[in-house]
Amino acid sequence: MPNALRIVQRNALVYRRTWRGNVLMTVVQPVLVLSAMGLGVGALVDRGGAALPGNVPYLVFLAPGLLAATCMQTASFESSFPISGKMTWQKNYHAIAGTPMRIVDIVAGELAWVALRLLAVSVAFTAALFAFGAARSPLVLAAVPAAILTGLAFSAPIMAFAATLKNGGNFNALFRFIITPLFLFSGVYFPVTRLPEWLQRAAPWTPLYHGVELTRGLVLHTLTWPSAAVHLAYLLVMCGSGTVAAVWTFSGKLRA
Amino acid sequence: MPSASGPLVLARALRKTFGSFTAVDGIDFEVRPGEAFGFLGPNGAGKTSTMRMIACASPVTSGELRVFDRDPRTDASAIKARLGVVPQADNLDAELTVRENLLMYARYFDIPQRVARDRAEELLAFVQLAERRDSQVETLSGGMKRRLTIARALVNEPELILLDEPTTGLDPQARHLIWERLYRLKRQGTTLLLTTHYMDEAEQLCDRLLVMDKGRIVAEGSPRELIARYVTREVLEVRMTDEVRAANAGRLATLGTHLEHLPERLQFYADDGEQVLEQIHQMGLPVERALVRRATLEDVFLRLTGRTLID
Amino acid sequence: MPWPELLTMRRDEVPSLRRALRMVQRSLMVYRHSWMVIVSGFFEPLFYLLSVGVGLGGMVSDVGGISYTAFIAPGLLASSCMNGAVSDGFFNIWFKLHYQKTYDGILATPMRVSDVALGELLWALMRGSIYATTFLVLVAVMGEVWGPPVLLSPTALLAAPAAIIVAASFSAMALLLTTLVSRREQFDYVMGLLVMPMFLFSGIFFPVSQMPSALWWVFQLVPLYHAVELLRGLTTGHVAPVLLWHLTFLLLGGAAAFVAAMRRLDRTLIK
Repeated sequence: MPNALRIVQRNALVYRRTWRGNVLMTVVQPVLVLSAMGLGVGALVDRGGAALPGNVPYLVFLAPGLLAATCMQTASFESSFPISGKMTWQKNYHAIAGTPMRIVDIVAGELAWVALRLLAVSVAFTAALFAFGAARSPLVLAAVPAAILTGLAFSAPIMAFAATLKNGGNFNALFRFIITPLFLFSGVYFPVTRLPEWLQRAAPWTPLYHGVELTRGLVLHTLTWPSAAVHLAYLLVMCGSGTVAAVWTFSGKLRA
Repeated sequence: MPSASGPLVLARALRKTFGSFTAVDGIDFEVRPGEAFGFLGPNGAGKTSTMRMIACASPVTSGELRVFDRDPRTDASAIKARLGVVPQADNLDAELTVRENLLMYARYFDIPQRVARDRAEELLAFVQLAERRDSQVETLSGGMKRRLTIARALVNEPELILLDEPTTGLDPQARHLIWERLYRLKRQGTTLLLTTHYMDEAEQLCDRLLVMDKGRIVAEGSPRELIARYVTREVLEVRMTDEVRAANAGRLATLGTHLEHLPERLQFYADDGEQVLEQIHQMGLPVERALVRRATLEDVFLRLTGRTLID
Repeated sequence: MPWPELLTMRRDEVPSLRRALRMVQRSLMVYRHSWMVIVSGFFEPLFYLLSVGVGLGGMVSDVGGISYTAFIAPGLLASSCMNGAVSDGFFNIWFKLHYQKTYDGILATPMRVSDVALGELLWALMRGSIYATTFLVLVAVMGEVWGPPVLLSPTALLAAPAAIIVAASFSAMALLLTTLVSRREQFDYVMGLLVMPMFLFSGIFFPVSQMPSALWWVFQLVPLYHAVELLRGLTTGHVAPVLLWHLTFLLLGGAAAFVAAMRRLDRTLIK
C-alpha cells in the first residue's frame, strides 16, 4: 500500500500546478447546478404538484441524485484521458514500472487518487446542500461515502478501458453514448417510475441507478436494508471486477 | 519577374527585434539562383528569425528584405507560392495520414487534385516513405517525419527551399539519408537556403556560408575559403593535466600560429600539427592524449567568436 | 479596440473564399477517419430532449402556455450550437494552434491567417447546419408520433436558418476565446465560469423571468440567452420585434468576434 501512495503523491505534485481552476469547478459547479436545476426547474416542478418519494420539494429530491451523478462524471473523466495519456502518450507508467513499483500499486494508487478527488467533490456538494437548506439531517453525511463508492464503480472499469486505447476518440463515444444517457435516465432528474416500462425494467441493471438510489435513500431516509444490500453489492462488484480488469490491461501494456 | 541572374533573396540592413531583444541586428546578404547557401551559427545567433522573415512567417522590423524581388509585407502569398519551407520543429498535420499530408498541402497551393496525386506518389518514393503512405503521422520516427516535411516542402516544385536545422536531433543514419536527398535536389538546380549549427552539415551541403553570431554576420565565404582565411590547415588537440597547463602556459603559447584554451583540451593551430607535437615532446611535457586533424568550420567559429558552436 | 474598427476589415485582411474552402476540405479529410465524432455530437441534445419528454416533462406543468418539452427543445438546439462551437472550435482549434502547430505548417503555403480563420468558421457553420436541420426534423417527427408537439408554428421553418446563424456566431466567439487562452489549465475557467453558467441560466430549462429582474441587463450581454430566445420565438410562433434585437446581437457579436479573433490569430501566428 505505501507504494500506491507514491502514485497519489505524484498526482498531487502535478495537481499543485492546476488546482486553482479545478477547485473552482468543484466548488462552483454544485452551487450553479443546484440553483438552476433545483431552484429554477424545481419551481416549475413543485408548481406542477407531481408526487416525489418522501413528498419532498424537488431540490431535496434532486440533490442526492446529482451528487452521485457528479461523482460518476468526475470519476469517469479522471479515469479516462489522464490515464490513457500517462499510458500511451507520455509513457509515465512505463517509467514507473521500471522502479520497484508493481502494477497493482499503480492501479491502486490511481484509484486512491480518484477517491480523494471524489471526496473533495462530495464534500463541496454536501456543503452546498446545507447552504441551500436541502439537507434535512446530519445523516446527509452518509451520502458522501455512497457517492464516492458510485464514482469508484465507474473509475475502475474505465481505467481498464483507458489503458488499452491508442487515441482519445473512443472516450468521446464512452461519454456520449454511456455516461450522458446514464446521467439522464437513471433517476437523477425524475423517479425511474416515470420511464416507459421497458426502460424501468432495464434501470436496475445499470450502475448509476444503484448509486443514485443508495445515495438518495440515505439522505431521504427511504432506504430499506435489503435494497441497500443490493445497491452496495452491485457497486462493490463493479469496483472489484473493474480493478482486476485494470490490473490485467495495465499488465498487458506494461509487460508487452 | 526577377531577371534570371538576379538574387532570389536580398537583405539590406535587415533587423528583427522582439521587444527589447534584438534577434537579427542589421545584416546584408544575397542568395543567388542555384546555390546552396547556409547560415552557420550557435543557437540564438538569429538564423531562425532570418529564415522566418524570408518565409513571410515573421514581420521585418526594419531594413529591406526582398524575396523573388517581392516584398514579404505585401506579397506574402505570391512569395510563399514559390517557396518550400522545412521548419526547425516539424509541424506536420497530425490529424492526417502521410499521403494526405502531401495531398492537402498541394491543395493549399491550388495544385489540381490529379496532379497532386501523382506528385505525392513521386515524393513519397523520393523520401523513401512509400510504404508508410497510409500511416498516421504520430507513428513515424523523427527521421521519417523530417523526410515527410521535406517532401511536403517540395510539393509545389519550389524555386527556393528553406531548411531550418534540417538534421538536428536525428541519428547519423537518418542525417546521411537526408543529406543525400538534399544533395540530389541541389544537383537538379534547386536553390537551398539552410541554417545549421553542425559544421559537417555546412561543409557537406553549402557552396557559400554566412557565419552568424548574436544577430550579426561575422564572416562570409565558401567553407574552404573560410578555413583558409581564418585558421591554419591543421589542428593539434592536446590533453594534459591542469597543473601542467598552468605551469607552462607561457611556453605553450609560443607554439604554432595560434592557441585556443578549451576546458578539457588545448588546440594548436599550425600548418604542420605533427611538428608542434614534436616540440611539446621536446619540452618534456607529459601529454595524456594528442590528435592531429584537419581544420574545420568549428575552428573558424571558435577563432571568430571565442566560443564553440555547440555548447 | 473601438467598435467601428472591429466591424471593418482592412483590405489585405479580407479572406479569400477559395482558400478558406481548402480548410473545409482539410476538415472533411480529417473527419473521414473519425466521422463518429460528428455523428455522436448530434445525439447529446436528442438524449436531453428524450429525457425531458419521457420523464421531467410529465412533472412540470405548462410553461407560459406551452408544454415543457416544447419549451425546452429550442433551448437545447441553441445549446447544441454552443457545445459544437466549444468542442470543435475551442478545444480542437486550440490544440492545432498551440500544440500541434498545424496552422504554422499551413501558413507556409499561399494561405493567409484570414483564410484559415474563415475556413474554420465555414466548417463549424457546415456542421452546425447539419446538426440544426436534423434536430429540427427529428423533433418535428417525434412531436407528431409521440406528442406533445414541439414545433408549434410554421415559423419553425425559420428556426433552421436562425440556428445556422447561431452556430456561426458561437463559432466566431469560440474562435476568439481560443486566441485568448494560452494555457491548458485555463480551460477549467472557461468551462466553469462561462460555458456552464450560460448553459444553466440562459433560459433553456426555466424561464429567465423567474430570476430577479435586476439581472435583465446582464442577460442582454449573454449570447446563449439571445440564441434561446430567438429560436424559441420561432419554434413556438411567438414572433415579435424583439426577435430582431436577438438576431442583431448574434450577427454583430459574431462578426466583431471574428474580426478580433482574426487579428489575434495573426499576432499569435505571425511574430
